[in-house]
Amino acid sequence: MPPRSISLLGPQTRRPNLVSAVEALSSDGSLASDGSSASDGRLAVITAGWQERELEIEELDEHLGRATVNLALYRRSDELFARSPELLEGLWKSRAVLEQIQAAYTVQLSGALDAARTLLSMDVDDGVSITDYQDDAIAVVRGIDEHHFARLTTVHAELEAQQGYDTHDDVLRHREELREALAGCSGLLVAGGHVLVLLNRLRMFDLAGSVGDLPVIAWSAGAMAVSERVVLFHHSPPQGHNNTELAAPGLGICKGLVPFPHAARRLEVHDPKRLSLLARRFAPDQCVTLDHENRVDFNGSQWSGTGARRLTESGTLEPLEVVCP
Amino acid sequence: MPIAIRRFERGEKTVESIDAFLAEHEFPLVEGAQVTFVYRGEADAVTLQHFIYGLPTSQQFRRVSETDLWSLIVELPPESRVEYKLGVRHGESSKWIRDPLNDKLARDPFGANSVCTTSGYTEPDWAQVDPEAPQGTLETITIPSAALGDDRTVTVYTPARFRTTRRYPLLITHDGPDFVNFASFGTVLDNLIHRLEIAPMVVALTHPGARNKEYAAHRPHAQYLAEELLPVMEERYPLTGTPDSRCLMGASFGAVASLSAAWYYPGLFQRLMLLSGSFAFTDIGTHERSSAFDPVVEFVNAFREEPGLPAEKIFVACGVYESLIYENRSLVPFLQAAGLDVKYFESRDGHNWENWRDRLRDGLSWLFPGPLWMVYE
Repeated sequence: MPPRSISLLGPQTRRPNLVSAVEALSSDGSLASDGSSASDGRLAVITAGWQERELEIEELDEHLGRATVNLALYRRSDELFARSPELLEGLWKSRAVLEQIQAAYTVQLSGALDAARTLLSMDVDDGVSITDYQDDAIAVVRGIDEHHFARLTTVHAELEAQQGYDTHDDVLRHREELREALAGCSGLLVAGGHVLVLLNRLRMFDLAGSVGDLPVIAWSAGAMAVSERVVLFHHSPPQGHNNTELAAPGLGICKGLVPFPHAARRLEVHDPKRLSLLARRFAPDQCVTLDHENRVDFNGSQWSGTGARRLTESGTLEPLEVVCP
Repeated sequence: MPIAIRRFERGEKTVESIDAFLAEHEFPLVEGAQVTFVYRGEADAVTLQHFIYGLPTSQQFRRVSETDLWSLIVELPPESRVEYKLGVRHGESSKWIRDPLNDKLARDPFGANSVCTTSGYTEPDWAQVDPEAPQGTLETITIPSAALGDDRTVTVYTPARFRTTRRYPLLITHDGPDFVNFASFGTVLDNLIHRLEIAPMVVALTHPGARNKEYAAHRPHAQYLAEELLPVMEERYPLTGTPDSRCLMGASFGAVASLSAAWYYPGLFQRLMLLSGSFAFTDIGTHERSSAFDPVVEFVNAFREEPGLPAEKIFVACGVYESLIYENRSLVPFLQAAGLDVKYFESRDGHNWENWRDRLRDGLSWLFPGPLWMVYE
């Protein structure tokens, strides 16, 4: 069995490059082309991040030039909640728990990031070095992230066990339907949208377990959700804080990268100190920008980029050439 | 080092040197806090006609000796944005003109003014047309109004990707066409929604009638908003329909109309956006503004006497170069003491549409935050 191919893309609103990503996977044999396999070249698509607009995929199909198989995770979850209100209640309770944990983390993180940013910006006289203080401050941030990530991983597992998805008849029925649907497809597309809603539905229906070795093309929030760590970010929001924060363990299909979709608008790309802090915070994973028409591809052993750039520890943006996870 | 006009004054003054001086610089010439306004042409007097409250409204230019060049140096703080005209007098005849040496203009219902900005002021990129941002739709509807005794025109903005299956907050905007024409409101809505900085919303852009009367805390106008416009909007459009999803917005007298309507109908509109509100009041005696303010003063005095809780969240903004800064500064602690959640913003700008345009992102993203932290499309 060849290793799975993965492509991560930037936003697909205006100037989409999904077709070229599909063509690239088709040309290297990762995606069976039409009529060449039992799957008949069909592509499954997940648009649960679009929430109530999930089924409005006409533009997507038009862009691709063929009909996709919409796995309709959001609609399936709505049906589940209607039939089994305890699942919805459980979801709300889980969300409340996670929000409180996240709030505690962001308080802790805020102080540590303030210290790190201040130290990275501090001017000192020639001959004086504060590198050790800067390194320590970043280590504190990394420690908070690591602790939070471990906690999130544990809590997610506990909450999902409490929800009983793995033994719930209706959930299991949907999972089986999804496995069958995916078996008839040659690849999986995961669209962007609300990243935590998307991730929740991916987990609820165990997409990580169902997808097998199908090639995956994911964009924006989809790229974030299939990575190992879901990182929320915006350097200049009109309201509220601008501290980049870890929000959830992702599906972990994509390893070694932290995607930053729409970086041109969301990141202060001309502020080397902020970029450096991000790169050092999430190292050894590569922080990768995914703007319009950008793509990164995983061929089973290494990542390569088209247009996408990686944040360096010196605070620059460099082309993502070849990275081994 | 002396500023440019002083250096020029010390040098040779020929037609060619004047041409070169004008070609070398952009005008008004901002050098630190000093701003040099320049006019070239024969005249008996040239004045700067600006709208900065606190400075003399008309300031005399000085002719650079032996030339047809006139100049005036004004100190303006950083982050200032000032609209102005030049007064040019020939004998008994004088007229106000836009600065021929300055292409930057701000349009308003009366025409256009020249614009001077100092360091630190940047025209917001979210107010410029973004080809990436899909455009919303504007349609005009008519609302029969028994309260006002005639039919009223409302332009309704619906966001791009509008779906009747969704539910949207409602923003009712006074002076709607002027906000669209002079504050780029349609573009701003398109951009901020596209950037996920504000929630997709339906905006009722109301066309004013007898503005000075109806916006001056006029109860029938409030009745029109609450009992006629709102039900029609909720019937025709897929609106969330809760008080915290309804906002009244206005500038100048439009802000008075917004606050007074919320006060007459407490709890119906839980969001207010009040820009340069004409909240004239008296502590004792009579006010010194025009008679159009009589009902405004009466309302604001009554409101200050018994504010109640007209809304939950109120965004208030005012330019420090407008005469209304005192009234708006006075209002904020008063609203806060009444238990309202208030966000207040001051800008170094005047009573004009682009000042109000520049506040739209702060206000709307606070009143109706978008999902940008969670949504990555």
